[in-house]
Amino acid sequence: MKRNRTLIIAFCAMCVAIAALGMYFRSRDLDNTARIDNLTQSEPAMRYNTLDPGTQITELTDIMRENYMHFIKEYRSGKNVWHIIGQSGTYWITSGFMIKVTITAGRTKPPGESEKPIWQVLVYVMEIKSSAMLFVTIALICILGFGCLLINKERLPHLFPGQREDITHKGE
Amino acid sequence: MKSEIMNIVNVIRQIGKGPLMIYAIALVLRLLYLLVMLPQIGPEHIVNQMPDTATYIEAADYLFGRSLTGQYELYLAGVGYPLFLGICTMLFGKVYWLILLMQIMLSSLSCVFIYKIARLLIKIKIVSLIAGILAAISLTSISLANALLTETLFFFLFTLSLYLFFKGMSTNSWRRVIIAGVLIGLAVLVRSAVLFFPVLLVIFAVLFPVHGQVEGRRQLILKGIVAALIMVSIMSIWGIRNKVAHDSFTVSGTGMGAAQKYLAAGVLYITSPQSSQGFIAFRDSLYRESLTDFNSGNYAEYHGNIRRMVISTFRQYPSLFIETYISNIWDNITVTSALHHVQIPRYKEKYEAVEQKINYGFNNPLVLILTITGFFILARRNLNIAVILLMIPLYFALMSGVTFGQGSRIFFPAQAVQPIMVAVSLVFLYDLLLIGRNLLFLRRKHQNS
Repeated sequence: MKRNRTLIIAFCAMCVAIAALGMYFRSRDLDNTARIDNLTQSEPAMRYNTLDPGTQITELTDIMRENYMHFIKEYRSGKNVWHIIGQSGTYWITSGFMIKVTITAGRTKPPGESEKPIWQVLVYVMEIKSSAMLFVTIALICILGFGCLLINKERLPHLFPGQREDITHKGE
Repeated sequence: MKSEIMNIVNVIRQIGKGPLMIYAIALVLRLLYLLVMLPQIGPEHIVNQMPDTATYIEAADYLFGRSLTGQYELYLAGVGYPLFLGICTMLFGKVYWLILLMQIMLSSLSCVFIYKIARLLIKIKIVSLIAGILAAISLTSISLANALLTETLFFFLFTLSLYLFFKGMSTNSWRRVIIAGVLIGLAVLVRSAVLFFPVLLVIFAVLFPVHGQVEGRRQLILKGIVAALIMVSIMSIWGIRNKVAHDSFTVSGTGMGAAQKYLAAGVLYITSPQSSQGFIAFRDSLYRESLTDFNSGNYAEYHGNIRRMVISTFRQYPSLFIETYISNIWDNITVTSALHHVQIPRYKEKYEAVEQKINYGFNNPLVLILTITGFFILARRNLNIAVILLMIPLYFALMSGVTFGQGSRIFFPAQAVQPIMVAVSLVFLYDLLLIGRNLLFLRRKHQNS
């Protein structure tokens, strides 16, 4: 009875540690994604020339948020630079990649002075591998390893034949 | 007629139902895959599935005097697979699907050897059966059996030699150990990934349990050393040939080449300011820089250049080098099979939809998790056997760190024992389910009473 209680407490402590590790991994992924410098590390994935950059950027942001990734957050880092951060799966734990999209808008010189300025909108996209798979691996190995090492041998009749108790797999 | 039937029945009894069932499942799956694949890619495109195939065919043609070019390809690939291809094309002509049929048979036999290794080391029939079936249904194994690549022939030689080695260790048989040494020596000539395996053979001999009819520890270690020496002698023959022909003592040029093209290039790519050009373009520009005159047949200079580049990269960025190496290992041990994307392109959308749901990109850690869980359970049964089994995937994991981006074929040799450890985990999970069911049953019984 005392052993069982100790095991349950140890198991609960391990689960808490795993959850804390998961939160740490997720926040580290978000930090790493936010730190990506799309403007110098990647080439523009899309380019648009427009007279109405506001509408264009709103449309692009919506497309990126809804179709390209599972949205996490967006922010601005300059007057005309927008960043969107997302993940490839619905939840972080099922996501293989973290995604960062950076949209910039720059005014180009119009051919004639009386014409309205043309804006060039550039979209940069980069993906980095998330730590979710590593976390899932560590978590499952800990949980299964706990079971493997601490369950009585006689409770595993197929792996330790000859050591089984009166309990059989038919529940008799 | 009746006696002939009885003879066949006796042979089947001797082989056992388990191995026959595993062989049949493996054979049927691989043949079905071939039948689905051939109309989609066309028999004439078997050679175009993977870029490496062209290298092996050129090397085979050069080896059998059918071509004057191909000495560099032979130096790169080693002699094993070109020899196999050359003999097959001598027998069947350049009908490559017949070679695939041969590979399918070898691949199916490998599944039986995995079953036999499990029977020998674990001694639980259900675990052995599950291990054999897992090997038979492995998508990596099935797709590689249907490609003109070194893996299937290598895997056959490797699993057979492991089985014979362990069998020789568990009985008084020297003959099996010697044959195992010869076969694994041949396996190195097919794929140089087991170049350092002699060390493991000796460690296995040190760890292998001494019991029953087996001689003492000293005898086992002696057997391990003999097998290792035979292996080293066989691979040295080709090494000496390369030294004489090209002034380079090596079994195959691919190992160091991979370390340069993937590991060192990967490190330099991360540190390069031109990283936005894409890794492949960057790697190829490095590769072109190290090229020498291949027509001269002297590859020592080329080999030396590559070695110097790898060493200098390590000296320049030691921590990044180690980080990239570990990251490559992580990628290779979790990567899923992708060869079927090329071989069966018609259903690509369907299985990609499934893969996207169950994988992390191109990776999945499930087999790794079950392998490590299997190790924990086996360690409770017999620590030495558990360590022996774990050392094989560990060895191939360490070897895989020099390369990446080649799908699950790099870590494929670990499947010689991985299905056994996964099977142990699956049986463990089944027993866990039974514990849960028993607890429920007892609770209900208690409530009723």
